[in-house]
Amino acid sequence: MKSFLLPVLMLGVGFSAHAVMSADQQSPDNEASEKTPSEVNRIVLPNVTSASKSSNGSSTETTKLSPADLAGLQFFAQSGDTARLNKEIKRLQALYPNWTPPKDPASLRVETDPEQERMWALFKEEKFPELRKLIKERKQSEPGWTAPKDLLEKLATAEARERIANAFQLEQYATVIRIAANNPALLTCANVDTMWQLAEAFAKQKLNARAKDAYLYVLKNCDVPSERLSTIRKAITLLPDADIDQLIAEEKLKTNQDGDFKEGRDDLARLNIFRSLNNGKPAAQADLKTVVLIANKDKTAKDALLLGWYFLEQKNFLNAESWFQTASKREQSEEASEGLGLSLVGLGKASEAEVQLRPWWKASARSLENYLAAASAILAKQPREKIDADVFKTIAEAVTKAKDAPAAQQIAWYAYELGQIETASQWFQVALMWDPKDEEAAYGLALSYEKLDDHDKLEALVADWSKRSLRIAALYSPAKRPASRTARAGTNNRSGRASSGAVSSGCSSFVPPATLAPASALSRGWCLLNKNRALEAADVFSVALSGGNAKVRSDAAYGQSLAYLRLGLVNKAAVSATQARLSPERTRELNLDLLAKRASNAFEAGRYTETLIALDERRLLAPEQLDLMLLRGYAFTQMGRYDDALQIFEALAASGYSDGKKGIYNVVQLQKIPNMNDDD
Amino acid sequence: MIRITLREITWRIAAAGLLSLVALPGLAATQVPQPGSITQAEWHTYVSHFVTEGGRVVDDANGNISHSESQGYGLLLAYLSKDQATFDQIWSFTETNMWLRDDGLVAWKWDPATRPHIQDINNASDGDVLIAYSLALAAKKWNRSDLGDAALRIATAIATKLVFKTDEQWIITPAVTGFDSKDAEDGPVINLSYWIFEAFPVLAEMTKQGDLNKLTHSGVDLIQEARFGPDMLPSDWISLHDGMKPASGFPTEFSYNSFRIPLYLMRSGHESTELLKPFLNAMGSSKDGVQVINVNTGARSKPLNDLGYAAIGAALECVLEGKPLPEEITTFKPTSYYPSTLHLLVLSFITEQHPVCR
Repeated sequence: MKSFLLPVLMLGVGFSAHAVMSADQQSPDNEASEKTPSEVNRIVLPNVTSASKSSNGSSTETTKLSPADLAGLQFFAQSGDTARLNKEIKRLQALYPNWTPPKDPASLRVETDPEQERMWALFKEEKFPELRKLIKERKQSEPGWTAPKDLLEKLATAEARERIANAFQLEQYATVIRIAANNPALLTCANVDTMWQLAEAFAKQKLNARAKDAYLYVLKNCDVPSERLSTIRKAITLLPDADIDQLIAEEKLKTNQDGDFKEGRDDLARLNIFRSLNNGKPAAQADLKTVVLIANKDKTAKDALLLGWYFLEQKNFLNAESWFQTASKREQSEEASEGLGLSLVGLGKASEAEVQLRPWWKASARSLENYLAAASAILAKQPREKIDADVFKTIAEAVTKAKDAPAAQQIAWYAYELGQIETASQWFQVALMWDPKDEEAAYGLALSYEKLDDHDKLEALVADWSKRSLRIAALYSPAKRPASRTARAGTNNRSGRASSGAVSSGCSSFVPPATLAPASALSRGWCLLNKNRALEAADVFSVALSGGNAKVRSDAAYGQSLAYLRLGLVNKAAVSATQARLSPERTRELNLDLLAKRASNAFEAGRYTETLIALDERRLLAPEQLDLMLLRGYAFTQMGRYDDALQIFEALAASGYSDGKKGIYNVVQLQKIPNMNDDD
Repeated sequence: MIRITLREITWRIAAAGLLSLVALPGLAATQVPQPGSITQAEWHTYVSHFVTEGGRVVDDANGNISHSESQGYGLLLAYLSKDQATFDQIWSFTETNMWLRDDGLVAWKWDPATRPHIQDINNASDGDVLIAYSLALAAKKWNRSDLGDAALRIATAIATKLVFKTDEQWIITPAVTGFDSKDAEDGPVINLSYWIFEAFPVLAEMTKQGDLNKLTHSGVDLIQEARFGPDMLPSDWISLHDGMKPASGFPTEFSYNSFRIPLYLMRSGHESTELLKPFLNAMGSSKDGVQVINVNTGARSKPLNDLGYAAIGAALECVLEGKPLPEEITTFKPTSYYPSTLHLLVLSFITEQHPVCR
């Protein structure tokens, strides 16, 4: 049963190590492996019956192992490392089918030297580079000495194993296959992880036949039931149905041979359910019945989870919910909560689902996706339900992290319908930023601008979209434009708050800031800022900053920074921004504004190097906009760096920006003047 | 003085001896540096500062990461220090944890703070060249076919994936992705300090890929052409998109990368005044330390006090003007990984090729 694998795997898969691998190394330390190691380890074996060693494994006599082979066994036995000891016994059994392991490996006596023991210890601790060093040092200090062959082989194999795992993690599948081909000693049941990695690498390289053969190899040769099942499970996620049929047939054969019908049949039933999960087909009733029976009787969560996922996949949400509940009661886990959450989404209980999924949303990309499924179900609910501030905050964070444009749009519509038009317009913009072709988001944004009476922005947006969307085109015609327009684009962009309800119930009359509660100070701050009374706004925001909760303080810090920026007080704005935790997005937005302002202030003060430093810093955060490129060009000009300046101005001119041409003209004029001061 | 003479003789004998070795084809006719030009004391100091027990060469000024360059330098220095044991230690780490790319090149950065430790599978060509070169030297010197096989595989990948001809010149691209005309607006972008001249003939002979040898000629041409601004110096990153100019998106500076250019030139026997003069002007006799220079404006940074950079300037003065190295340069005192590495490479070069200066 445990007949050794290599011929089987290599021939069975039609896979030639040499063909794949002509250029890579064959063995890491050829110089030493040629020498015999027997004189180094003088091991006395009390328990093993001796017999002649059979080279082909066909002899019926008991094999006697070489001292080198036994050195590792002895080491692991004496160090009490049972897991490794068993692995080593397995490895030796695979190598020498007729060898009987000693009943009491710990009693193996060995005479060896302490330095060699240290080598084995390093091997056990997986400190391979240190071990390599030690071996070479010993060789150099003791010219007659050679490292135990067994140690060298194990070391090479262990390094290869680690290298394969590293390459696999980085999806370097050709490397995985090449190293495996070069290290046949690695491909044993003792290293089933490596076997799986190799099989998956084959599948990922579209070498399905080889992948199947590698999985089949494990099924034919390896005995640990859980590993055999995992083997088929892994294959199910990678290989086509026909291959899986073959693997399951092999497993059935094995089950029948072993005579362990009951357990084997249970496992096969589980596998079939798992298979349905992957191919979406309903499972056979008999298999389902079997697993339901086990899951009811058994008190672990595993089968309950399996059934939960199965019913979820079959869109039988009630059954799914109930099995995930069972699993969760037996053992709380992320997986159970996740399944339960998704079942609840399926049942239309979005808010309950959100509660289940919230604790895990940061755990992985998948849990984020699940959480967004619940969030989007909540946001889509009609009639609209009120969403708690905390929940809303988490949803916004999750959407931002996922850069999920449809979800951002859902938030926007939700805000729009609740009359929070300013918020809505911001989320529509975010949705458009993540998906610039989304007409629906553009339409929502256009509606928001219309409600906010922001005609400049509406006009620009319509101009951009009118050819692509009739309904957006219909929202604006030049005739609609109000006759008197005092504010320039950009300065009235917060005016919407004045008409958007509670936030701005008015701030025209004076109220001493110190008398305000933090929350009302915050709304008054926004109101003042919208009315372009930035100095008063900054004062009022500092009241909110000094007393509110984290959310209020964060908003207030943001508001105060904006207020100072509007006043041109760049350094004060920067300080405000550090007063409370701001979201990364706000921080970035503020930094962009701050650096732009800093650059133009420096320029006006004649500090051109500083201008460039601020611009460079800003350019790390966002592409440089045209007006700042112009500033950069003029800074270069002032510094006498005409070539750099010309490069910028030419780029600007080329993109149709007329100020670029002016810049070029200026530089050319300056270049005609001799002896310009050439430093800043 | 006698010691020095003996060393010189040993070097010549060893170089001649190479001709008769046939075990590994390839290296025979090429003059290569010999182990022993770095003293045990210098090397142990270096190892105790920058090499971990796990075989990782640590860039301590840069978040304690390792990169293919640091591993490559570690291997080269171990070879020059005659330390096979540490060589094996560093190679074990490099092979297992970084030599993972499907194309046979080495992943460029290993960060102890991230999981997985390699976040970006891209390569860095100078690291690949240093590693392949050191493996080739060690394989030959110590008769190690395992190292020779690895060297050959990496060198072949270098020749086929990284070295190609642009409209005018043979270049080695700084990495497989990110620098050619497809990936960079002003590509191809090159870094002249990735021309490790001493390595090219060794790798060319081993792989039988003549294109690698063309790099020597093109590199000298490019260095002579890349004389920007008042100081006539190359910037670290250069665009070949339309003639030669400092690449956009990088500082237009003669900086940490380019400091190595004269070192690599001298180490490979390119010692003409014509070629080295701008570097001598920029790096020689700077009492306060070497400066980063903006090649467009001539503006200079604050002087860098690491002696490793000054050591290159001192070596230039030795080679071009016959000045002996000042004592603070001849005594190796580690600072941080990168300048310390350059420092040892300078000392090794002086000991082997200009012993009168030491």
